[in-house]
Amino acid sequence: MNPVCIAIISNENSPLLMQTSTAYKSSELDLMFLAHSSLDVIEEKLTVRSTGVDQRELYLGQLYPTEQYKIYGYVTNSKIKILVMTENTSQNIDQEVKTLFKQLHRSYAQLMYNPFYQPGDKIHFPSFVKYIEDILK
Amino acid sequence: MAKAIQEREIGLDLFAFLHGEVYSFVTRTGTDPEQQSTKLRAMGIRAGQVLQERLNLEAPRTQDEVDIVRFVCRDVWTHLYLKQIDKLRTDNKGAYYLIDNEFCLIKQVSDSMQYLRDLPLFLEFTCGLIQGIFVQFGISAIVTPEVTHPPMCIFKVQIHNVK
Repeated sequence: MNPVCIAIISNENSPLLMQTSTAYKSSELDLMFLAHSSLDVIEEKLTVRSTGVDQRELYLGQLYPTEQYKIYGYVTNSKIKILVMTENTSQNIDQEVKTLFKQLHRSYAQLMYNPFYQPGDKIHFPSFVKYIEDILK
Repeated sequence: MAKAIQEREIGLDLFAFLHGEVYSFVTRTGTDPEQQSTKLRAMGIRAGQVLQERLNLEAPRTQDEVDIVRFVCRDVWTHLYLKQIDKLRTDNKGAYYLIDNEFCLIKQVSDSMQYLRDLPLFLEFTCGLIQGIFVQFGISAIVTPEVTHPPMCIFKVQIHNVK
């Protein structure tokens, strides 16, 4: 799995953190646009009761495919959205992405323990940003 | 296993102790009771928000407010107070009554009129905690304590916007 971009978006759909891997820095704007448009897909997935999908699962699966990337979504119970974009490969990386999401969710929960972090604020803690950068390497 | 339970009980004792100290600190430093209760409630809300995120790592997606109330009664109460809420009642108009027959933070208070006036302020933190959990779920609720026969206490959760 090759994640190229990780985004954390608040319950009011404002970006809390968005990191792109160094190799993809030049297409950051494209990725931002993709992240923005995938919010609509998430919204739809949460409201429309589609059949065959486990509604009680926090992991939403692949949101939509593009030529270059695969976009996966995850929404916590507090409506925090986490997006992971990977290179488009033919391999099935569902399980890997799922574990990554669990990890990210756990780190976000730990971030909340920080007394200087107000929920809904942008994340600007070097240790957390570094942690995300390490995943993207 | 027994050791784990023992450790959790020590944790609960420490929490109760700290909670008591916070209460006495807040009541000693301010004179305005309104301000004191806002302060305690704000602390509770913050703690509730963190706790919600922490306890929801493995939990399934919540469907409606009943799920959230159940989450508070079961998961939050066992996590903090090592027991579940004893009784849950609703008036079907958006109000829930969480009844704890022996709320551990006021376990030592006997059933008399002696502290009835002070108890609502003492329970303000816990009210804030429940409120914070609802806030984090995206629902605005007002939580008020009702104590008539300590150590039994009732938390009334009035839900405002039903989305």
